[in-house]
Parts: sequence; C-alpha cells; structure tokens
Amino acid sequence: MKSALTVAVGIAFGFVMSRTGFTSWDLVHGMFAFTQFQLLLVFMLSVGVLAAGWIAVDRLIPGRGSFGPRAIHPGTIIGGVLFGAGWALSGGCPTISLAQIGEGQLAAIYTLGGILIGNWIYSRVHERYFKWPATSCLDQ
Amino acid sequence: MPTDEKICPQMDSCEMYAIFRNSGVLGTWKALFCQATFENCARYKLVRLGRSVAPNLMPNGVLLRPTRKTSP
Amino acid sequence: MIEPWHWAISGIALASIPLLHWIAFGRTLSVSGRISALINRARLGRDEPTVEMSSDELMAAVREATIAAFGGAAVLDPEVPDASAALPTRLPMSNHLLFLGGIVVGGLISALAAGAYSPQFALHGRTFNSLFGGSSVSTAAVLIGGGMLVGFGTRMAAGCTTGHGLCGVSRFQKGSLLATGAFFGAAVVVSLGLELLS
Repeated sequence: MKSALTVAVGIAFGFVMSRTGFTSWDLVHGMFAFTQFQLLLVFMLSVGVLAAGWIAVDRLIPGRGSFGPRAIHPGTIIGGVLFGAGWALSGGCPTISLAQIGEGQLAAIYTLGGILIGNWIYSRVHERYFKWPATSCLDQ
Repeated sequence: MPTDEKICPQMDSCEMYAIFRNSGVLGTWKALFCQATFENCARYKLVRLGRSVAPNLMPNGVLLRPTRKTSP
Repeated sequence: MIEPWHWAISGIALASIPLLHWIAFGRTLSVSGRISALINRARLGRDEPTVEMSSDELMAAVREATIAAFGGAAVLDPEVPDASAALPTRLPMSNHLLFLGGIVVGGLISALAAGAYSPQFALHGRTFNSLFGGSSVSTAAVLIGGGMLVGFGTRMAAGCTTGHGLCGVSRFQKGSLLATGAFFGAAVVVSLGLELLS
C-alpha cells in the first residue's frame, strides 16, 4: 500500500516535471539567461502556492511530520554555487534528469551518472576533510 | 561567547533528545552529550561524517532494544 | 517535443507534489536526500535493522538503558510525558528506488500521452545542440561534467531544487534561501556566459 503510494507520487512528480517545461534544456537556459520566462514564473508561483499550502496543511493536519531547520554551514553556499553551475551546463537537477530519461531524452543518463558519481565523491571528500554536521538527525 | 553555553547544533532535530525528554531521563544524558562535550555523542559523530543515524542509537553508542524478555 | 502547460497551471501542479508527499508520508520531499541514501548504502553497506517498539516498550527500554549507564538516580519523572512516543522509521532502500523509478515512469507517461515518445541518445533543445551537440562525445562530456557538479554540489549543500528551492524557500528557511540564492546566481552567471558563446 505504502509502496504503491510512493510510486504514485513519484509518477505524478515525473509527469508534472515533464509538463512544466523543466525537462527542456532550452527553457532552463532561458530561465537563467532571462530570455524566456515560463520557468521563472512556474517556480515563483509554485513557491507562493507552497507557502500558503504549508500553512493550510499544518492547520488541517497538525503534527503530520517535523520540518527540522535546515543547517547552514560552509557547504550551503559553495555547494549551491557548484550545483547551479552544473545545472546551467547539463540542464538537469536530479529530478529533471530522471524525468528526461523517461521522456526518451536518453542522453540524460549521462547527467544521472554524473550526479551519482559527484554525490559519491563528495561523501568521501566530506568525511575526509570537512566534517561539519552535514546531515540532520532527521534525514531519511 | 562563554564555552559553558556550547550546545549541540542538532538538539532541535534530535529524535533521541525528544524521547529522553519525554521519558524523564534527559538530565544526565544532556549534561554529558548535548552540552559542552556534545562532540562525544555517537549520533553527532555520524552526522559529522554525513552518515545516516540509526533511530535507536543512544549517545553512548548503545543501540536501544526492547527490554521485555518474554518470547512471543 | 512536449508542449508545456501554461505557467499558472504548471506552477500550481508543481506545488501540489511536495504537499501531496507531506500529506501522504509526513516527510519533506527530497530527491537529492534519497540519492545520498542510495550512495551511502552502496558505499557503506546496510544500515542497522530497524527496531520496532510500542510506546510503552520504548519508554521502558530508555529508562532501563539509562539505569544501566548512569544508575537509578538519573531517572526522574518525565518532563513532558508522551504516550505517543515512538522511534522514527527509516525509509528502506526499496522505497527510494520506487520513488526515483516513479519519476522516470512519469516522464515516460507524459511523452507517450503527448504522442512525443521517440527515444534518442540526445537531449532536446536547439540551443543545447548548437552549443554542445556537435558530437556524442561533446554531449556526453558536458552532461557528465555538469552532472558531477550537480551531484557534488547538492550533497554539499544538503539539498537540491526540491528540498531547498521549493520546500525550504516556501518555509522561509534561512539555509534554503542561501542555497537557492547561490545556485540560482551561479546558474545565471554560467548561462549568461553561454549566451555569449552561442
């Protein structure tokens, strides 16, 4: 039951991601270069709807889960910058690359492979050199 | 900042902290593992390494298990 | 090519996913977190098996373990007695794979429903192909390189577009606002640079 629900939410996410335009490299590029505004509008509206949605959901079903504070550490900004550069080049964040593969843009397999390798490398670098509290006790 | 105010940055999100608080056993654990010497906490050490923390891991490294000896 | 929905419909649909996820599972939607869990599993092996205890069993076990460590004097009356106390559950690896696989299937259904499914070892996009699509080698190089930056950066920042950009920002989390500002700013700089090349 829970597995079916997990797959269903995953499918909905992939479908929506595909229809928002986020799986188009050109539209993502247009968002960051300010030449096309579809995705910028989608993102901003989405954040707005979510901000209101959290208030509604927290009121309707209080205590559904805990949203721990997200830690701030040196990796927050440096990691963000590296991620942004990678997204602008590959057109993929983790979700986008998965949805692209499903759509038949199979070159996104390279992006996904890169993401897995990059995550692996960082996990090694972190425990060798950085050692700031990187996850929270709440992380899955 | 005086050092005796050092507290574990994970305290707000620590599941074990909440369980200790709710069970009336927080005092000693907190003094030893959530304040000045929080870096000794087994949970905090894993968080620093970016590893996942077992929900039943106690600050002294012991894994919490059901105590009831009766077999089903 | 799949024609995108109007931005207003897209924005509402996109916002519904983290809300659905929260209502269904009581967890913040996180994609890079799930990938990190899979990488940890591959690198470090299985986690400790999950222990299931009722609220009473949990309280008894905590008190007993405390006495074992510090003696009976360490146990007082509960500060906040809570009959609903429970050990949180960790998602199993199968759950991560099912969710990530679901995203792929969602993309597939979208393409099929649009009558636009023609799998190719390429990426759609005129600008992309004029910049990098000259050969399969250059496509692979920029996607693997960019992907590695994405993987490295999202793990370092502890979140990606969903965790920081959507969920964290909409809850006004300082860490997420910083991370999102950083990734958006860097992406703008790189994209404006690419504009000059094209």
